Amino acid sequence: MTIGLFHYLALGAALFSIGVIGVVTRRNAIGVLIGVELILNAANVNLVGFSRYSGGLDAQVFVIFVIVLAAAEAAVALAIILQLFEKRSDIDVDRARGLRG
Amino acid sequence: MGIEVILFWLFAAMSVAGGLMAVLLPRIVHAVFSLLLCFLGVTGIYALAGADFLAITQLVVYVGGILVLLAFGILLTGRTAASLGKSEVRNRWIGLPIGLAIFFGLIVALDKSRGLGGGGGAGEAEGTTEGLGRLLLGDYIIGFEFASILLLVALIGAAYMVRRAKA
Repeated sequence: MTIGLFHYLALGAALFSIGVIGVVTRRNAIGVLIGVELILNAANVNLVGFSRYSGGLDAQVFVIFVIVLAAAEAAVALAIILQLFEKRSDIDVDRARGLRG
Repeated sequence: MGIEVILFWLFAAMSVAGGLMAVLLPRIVHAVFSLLLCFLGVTGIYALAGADFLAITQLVVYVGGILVLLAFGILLTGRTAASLGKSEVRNRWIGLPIGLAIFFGLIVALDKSRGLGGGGGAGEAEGTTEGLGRLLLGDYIIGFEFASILLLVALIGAAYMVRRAKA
């Protein structure tokens, strides 16, 4: 048995589903952020698989862009979470309903 | 069974197990450390696929940057739902079936499309750093510049947002 593109895509699908479970079930905003990171990693695994089995490097360039976006997203999300904590002194996403500053 | 197959399954098991623990463990600190296991598994997958530069980048950015950021976030937001006597997890009986349904739907779709596409053989595993650099500063220069501006703006915005409001 050899490893084919299907295996990479299946691993990506597994990581994506796990990330969705995290986003849906976590109450803590940082837990939701963890789920989003898992989803982005799933996309990266898919792209690396495509790059491996098509021979080109273009997919890997997109992986770099996704990593940049993940870093920016984590920074902004944590800033929002810290502000939320300062305003409400918890980071329960169920209870953060209001938009009034 | 070659060494590649064994390593692939090892790294895949690492990342899936780490991801599952990161999502299902009740304490958020444990979840962050399981995420470390998951990221290390994904790094191994990249290295196995011949994407050496991406493996290093994954280590530096995710393990060195994002995980530390998450740990800081936990540090600075001390009172979580668990310490207030509530469960950290909601909707478990809705979330798990949704995740499983998405997973099996994707697997069925992937299995049906197995033969499609070129199916070109695996490329040689040689250094990708030079090729990536030429692509980034050649064909993808616009995206590269926009990504750097986006990163700068996002980091300045994040630093601006977390400053303490003046009393």
